Amino acid sequence: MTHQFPYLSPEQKKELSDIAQRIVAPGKGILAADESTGTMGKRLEKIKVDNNEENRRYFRDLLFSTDPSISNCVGGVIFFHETLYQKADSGKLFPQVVKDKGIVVGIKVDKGTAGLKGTDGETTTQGLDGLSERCAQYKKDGCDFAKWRSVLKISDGCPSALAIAENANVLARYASICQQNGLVPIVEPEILPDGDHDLLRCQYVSEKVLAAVYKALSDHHVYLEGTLLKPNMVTAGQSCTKKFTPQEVAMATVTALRRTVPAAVPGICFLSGGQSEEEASRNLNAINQVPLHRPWKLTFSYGRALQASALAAWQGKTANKAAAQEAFCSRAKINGLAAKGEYKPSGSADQASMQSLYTASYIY
Amino acid sequence: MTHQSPTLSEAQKRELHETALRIVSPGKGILAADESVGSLAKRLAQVGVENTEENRRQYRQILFSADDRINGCIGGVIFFHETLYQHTDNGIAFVKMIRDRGILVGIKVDKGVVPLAGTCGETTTQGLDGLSDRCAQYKKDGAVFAKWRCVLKISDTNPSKLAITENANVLARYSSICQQHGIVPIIEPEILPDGDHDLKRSQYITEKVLTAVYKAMSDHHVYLEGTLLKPNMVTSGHSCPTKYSPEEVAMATVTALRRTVPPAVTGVAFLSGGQSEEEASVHLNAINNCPLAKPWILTFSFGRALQASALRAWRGHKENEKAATEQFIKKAEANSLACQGKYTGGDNNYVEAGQRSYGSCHAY
Repeated sequence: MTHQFPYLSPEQKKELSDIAQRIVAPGKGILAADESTGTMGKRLEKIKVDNNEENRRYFRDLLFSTDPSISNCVGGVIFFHETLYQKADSGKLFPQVVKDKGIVVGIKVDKGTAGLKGTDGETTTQGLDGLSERCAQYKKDGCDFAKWRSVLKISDGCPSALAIAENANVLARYASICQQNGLVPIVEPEILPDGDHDLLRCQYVSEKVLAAVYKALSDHHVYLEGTLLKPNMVTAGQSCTKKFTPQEVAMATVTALRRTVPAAVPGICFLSGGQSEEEASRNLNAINQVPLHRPWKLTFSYGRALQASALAAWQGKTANKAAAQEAFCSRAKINGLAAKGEYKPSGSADQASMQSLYTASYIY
Repeated sequence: MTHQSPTLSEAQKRELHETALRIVSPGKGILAADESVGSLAKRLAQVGVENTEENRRQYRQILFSADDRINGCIGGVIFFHETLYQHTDNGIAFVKMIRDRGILVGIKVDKGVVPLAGTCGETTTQGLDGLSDRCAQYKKDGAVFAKWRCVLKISDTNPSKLAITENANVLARYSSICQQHGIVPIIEPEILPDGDHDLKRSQYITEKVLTAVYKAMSDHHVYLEGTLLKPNMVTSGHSCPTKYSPEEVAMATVTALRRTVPPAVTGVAFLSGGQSEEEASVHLNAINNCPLAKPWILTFSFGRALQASALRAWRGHKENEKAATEQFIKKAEANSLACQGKYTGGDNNYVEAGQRSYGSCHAY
């Protein structure tokens, strides 16, 4: 505890820090295109498209080969392993397509959740075995960042102390290994929105979980300036009867982060969870307008909230490719604005009336 | 871990937060005048003054009689218990004198260090017994903030894990109790400068200690916005052969804080430790000019670094009182400038004029 042993050289630290800064450059966020084969199956099923390798390739190609101006709002793309070695119609490998646009390539490295015996259905996440070698290979193959998702849930007895501590620990081990191999780790401790809990409960649990995560990162000697956080926004549970405004969500979210996330962390890229595309954009926008000091970038790392319209427009038909790309670009631009607090949804109340909702005195 | 039981009402939180903000208003810091009888004995002995209650009263009177020039420099004064109930020569209570000029009154509430058996000379701090009742009484008697000092030291084996966790825990218990009584806790986990360790080692240990402190705060449900931190600056040990510039000290200090102190903490008021008055001001100034983003106020909570010259000017002689008070005012003004990054140096030209280089942050 008292002596520091060498872990990263100044050059390694600078490389990691620079990568992180590039991903969350002003107005930019992350496209989470790392759906596993099974998860992609669920998405494709909704539009009655067969879940085969070619269809998965085609859809990712549709996203990655879109107009180069996409790099104004997308700083990074998270890949699934299969996709990293697939090619565009042009014959170019996908990582190269993305890099050519000046976008950083990332890779999902966890191997899914595993049950924690003795808990009420809670999980940890596996994938540490051989992770160092895998990271070294991914770095050679064009990746500069990674992602690992841990999952917690809220219920009467959850999350338990074990679930919090165990998930914080694996996230820290993963982060440490990534950095040794020049990959910026995105740390994702997702607290699911399932349940009828209210906003305050979610905030409380988020604060406890994040405090544990950053304690674990410190214990594992992780270089915070070379990491990113991918948390849930603080929202009420999906079956909560009370509804909360984007301003309330934003205030609860930023308050929770201010109490737990050190300023050294360069960026926080929210997951969209079960939110609709519009909801995710409005909430991100409100977050970037909260009148509290926010020392990290606050942006997006969206999967469904960037792709839902594109998928719906595509319907598996080549003829719809342009329309699908248009839908994707549109969402990307909107989220780029939301990441700066500049999104003005048409048909919404004007700035002045939005502003007044913040002066409500509720103290979180 | 999953349900929040009531801790503080909205009104209580607001009161604590506003008090904290007032103590560290821009340009202001804290006068630590809470030397225990034993500590003051050492100071008085150095200037040949007998350690009697009357002499202690006269000495504090010299400080508190400073004119309005200190109103913009001093946001709070930390009292020792005895002093809280003393009066001026004219029978005005010290507490009233301080409060009437808009300066907040604080009280040291710990009862000194006690050894941790089985460690290499390490300690924890006592004072929790009956602390709740004492806080209630102090609040009635005019105090709105408190201070508790824990001590850690650096050596080949120290600080041990036990010392870190035990001290973090008592600091959190103390904080929790204070807040219940509307008293803002100043959290002081002092890492002594004794030793020959270099700047990097001090930074490393400071990061570990502060992370443990804020994890304990979270575990004990302390409202961070209603607290202040009083840490050591990150400096090399007293007997370290390498000398470091103010910019290096600043970079190491700010980096350590950015990695560990949540943005929600209202202010950081450094202790001066063994530093001279000039050294402390120059360091504080460099800290405030450090080019890294700093989401909290960075100011002073100085004892010796505000009083040394005053004490020397006084030497116990009534005819020196005005001159002594003047010395204190000068130091208060110097540190008021330093906490705004506007201090240009004092009598011994410690500081060179002109732009100074802070170097690369990746080396920290």
